[in-house]
Amino acid sequence: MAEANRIKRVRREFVPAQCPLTAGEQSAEVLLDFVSRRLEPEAAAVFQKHVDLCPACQAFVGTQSAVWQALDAFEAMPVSEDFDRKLWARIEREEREPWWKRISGFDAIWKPAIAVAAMALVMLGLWMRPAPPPAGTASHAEMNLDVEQIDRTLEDMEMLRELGLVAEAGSARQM
Amino acid sequence: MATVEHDAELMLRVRDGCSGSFAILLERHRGPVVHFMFRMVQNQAVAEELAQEVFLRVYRSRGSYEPTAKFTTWLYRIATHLALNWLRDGKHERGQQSLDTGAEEGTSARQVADYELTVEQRMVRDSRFVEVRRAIEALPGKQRAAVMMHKYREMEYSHIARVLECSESAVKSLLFRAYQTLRARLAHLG
Repeated sequence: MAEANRIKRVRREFVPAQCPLTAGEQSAEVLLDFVSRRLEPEAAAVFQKHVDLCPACQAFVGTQSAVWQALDAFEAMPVSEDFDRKLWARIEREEREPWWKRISGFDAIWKPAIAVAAMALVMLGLWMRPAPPPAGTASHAEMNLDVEQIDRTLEDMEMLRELGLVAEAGSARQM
Repeated sequence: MATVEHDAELMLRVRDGCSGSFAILLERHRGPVVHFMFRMVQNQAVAEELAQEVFLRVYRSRGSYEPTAKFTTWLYRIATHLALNWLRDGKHERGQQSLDTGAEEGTSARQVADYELTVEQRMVRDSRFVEVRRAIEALPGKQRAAVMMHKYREMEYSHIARVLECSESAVKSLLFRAYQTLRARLAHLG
């Protein structure tokens, strides 16, 4: 049914007055199929009649056939003998990996996520850190240290004063 | 049609843990996929590396395989996706230096069969080969993929459309423009 429709379409489209080249890109399908010998024989015969009468289509078919033959020159290389061995080695290596590494794109997804989480933790830590005391106020430890130092200094001064008095009394007796 | 069903059946067996069925699929499609990749990226080593990635992805996805589409549609969709990504990422520029080497590789592969050619005939053939490669290389990635499937895999427009995930008319448009470019560059070789 599809083939019959296609042949009907070819018959309808390829009358000399309606050249497929003037009908747009979509109609060129038949031209390409004709050159690549994919048209059904009946459709190809209808189109051949058009080509015989249409210089534009003759030129198209000529250049397209040249391209088609030129592309045949682009031969592919034979596949390496160790292709399968390398592939099975990759499959085995992948099967040995833990499941979470086997998930495609694990690294691509989790590496940035881990970095973002670390950054969030640092930010949270900074935010929750107790605020430093305002400038000019001393801590309890500093206050205690100062009191002790003053006490010790006063005691030292008292001791020196007493020593000075003893020395004065000694020198008076010698006189 | 039977072959298509067979591919799907094999893949269902792969899904059930039969690695032998995967080996059959590999045997059947290895050559066409590597050749498709070679014509897309124009470097044999890269083509084989990417083709391995294609089969690895097929194997990796075996657990979720459902035969909703032709196996080859799925296979070439993966292959085209990988090749276009490779071309888009500009990796071909790094491998460009190997184009001439690749051309030599390509010609040397045929030398055994062409021993009857004269030196001049061989030079003409090699120069055609390089010219065709350069003309194909000049095509945008999607046009290139469409031509490779149309010319070398002889796929129907509808099949190419399913692989490229676009409409059939978009495929015809891609092919028309691609062949237009190729006609401008290669028609003199005819």
